[in-house]
Amino acid sequence: MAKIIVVTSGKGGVGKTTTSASFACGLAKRGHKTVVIDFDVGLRNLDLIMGCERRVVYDFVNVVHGEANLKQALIKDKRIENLYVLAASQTRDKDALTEDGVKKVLDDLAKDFEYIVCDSPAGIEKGAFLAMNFADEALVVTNPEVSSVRDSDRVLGLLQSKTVGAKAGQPPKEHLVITRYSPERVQQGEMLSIEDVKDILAIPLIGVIPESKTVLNSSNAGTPVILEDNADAGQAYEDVVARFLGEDRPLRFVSSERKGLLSRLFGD
Amino acid sequence: MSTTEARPALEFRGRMLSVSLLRIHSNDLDEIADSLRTQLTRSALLRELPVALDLKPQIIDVDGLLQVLRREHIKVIGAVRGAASMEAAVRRTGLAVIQDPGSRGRDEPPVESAPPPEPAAAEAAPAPAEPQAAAPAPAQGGAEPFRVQLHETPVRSGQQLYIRNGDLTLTAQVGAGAEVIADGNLHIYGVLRGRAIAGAQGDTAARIFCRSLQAELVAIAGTYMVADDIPADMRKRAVQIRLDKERLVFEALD
Repeated sequence: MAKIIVVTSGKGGVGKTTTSASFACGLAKRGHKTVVIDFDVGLRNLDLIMGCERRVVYDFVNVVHGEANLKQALIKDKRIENLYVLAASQTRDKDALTEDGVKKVLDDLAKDFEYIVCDSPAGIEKGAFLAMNFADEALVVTNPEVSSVRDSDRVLGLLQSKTVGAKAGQPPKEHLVITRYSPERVQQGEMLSIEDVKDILAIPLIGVIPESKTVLNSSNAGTPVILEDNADAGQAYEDVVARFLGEDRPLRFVSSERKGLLSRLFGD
Repeated sequence: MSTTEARPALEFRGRMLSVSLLRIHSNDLDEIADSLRTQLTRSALLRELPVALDLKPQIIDVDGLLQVLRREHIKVIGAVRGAASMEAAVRRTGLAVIQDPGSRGRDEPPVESAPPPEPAAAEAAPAPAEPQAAAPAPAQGGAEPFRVQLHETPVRSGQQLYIRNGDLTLTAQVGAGAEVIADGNLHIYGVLRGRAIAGAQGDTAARIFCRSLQAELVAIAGTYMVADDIPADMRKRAVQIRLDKERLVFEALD
């Protein structure tokens, strides 16, 4: 049976799509047949991050409305075997998705795929709700700052009360992904620490992605950052995937020891 | 809190009032009038007694009944929820319809949104319901047994947990922007970052106990204090909060 994973956050701009793309790539790289769906109808981005924007013919909304079948709409990734993208429509709005329509598409995908990654739009309105509604697990993406953490807390509440799973007594399993983490800024008190965030949200941490220029560059280039072998952020996403699949890995890129030594030498 | 601030001309306070319930067993107005007079002669206390009409039994002639009651100096202050048609008939006479927690089903889920859009109880979700404005209607308790509710999962931002006619023991946290409310006491063993409201029906003896006080607002029986006014030396400490002559008193527990 396929596992449905929603990548959600409440707040916008925290790294949901970046996380969805890298997470899906990571699963597929390990041989799991994976599809990643852009639920952000009207503001589609996932195809850009995945570098398949020029191959979109049919999209998620077309499938939901029966205007195209899944086979026509699924875009096969050129780099990784087993990875497919279902793009969002840029010209429609969130009302184009219906609960029944989404369920049918997910059911159809579940026959063929091991993992279905749902990239949620920001907010807590219909699009975000439909993205989380059928999830078995949830990656809650949070930046280490107060408003992002608050919004994630709100989303966790919805996951636990409004989803199909929650209503059946089995709410989605939650994982915390802290993105754009900068140990230096935490040290200077400009950012919440990992402990602060964990303390407020009280769900298990699955990974910390360091703030990194590579993320922006690879997004612009249409390459999920997990495919950049030398990037800290890419390796951190690799760890997230490994932990998701049950491996035990220590946290990396969370301390500023090297910098600390330098700043001690040069008196910062 | 500051006593220097100008006092508004009026204020709303949550209070639990004791009101007798009047239930009729007949729709014969003459019979009702006779029975009333007999009972009045037996007990003078019934004279001028404020009562709420029980709408469980169908009342055919609400206006007629009210006239009979007025003639005998019974003060009807409102009616307690019944069938929708009955409520409409009562509202037409200008009386208020009051919600009575005691009249609700016993198997209703303990966790629900406070203001009752009627069928809310049907959604027996295990997690607290979604946000809604607070303040349960003042009503007569009594019929329902007092309960102690244990809740073990975090109350998240935007959620509201209301324990009607009972205490809440919460072993998890209350997120910023979340609200826990009980008619009795609140015991919060996780961090309290949201709002905590004890004695929601006006019980001034209710208290709030918490292991780490970082609340946005605390209130007991309608007397409240916002984060800015909570004594700074109580922050992040284990604290009990009680009401002493309409003032909230904070006492460190450690």
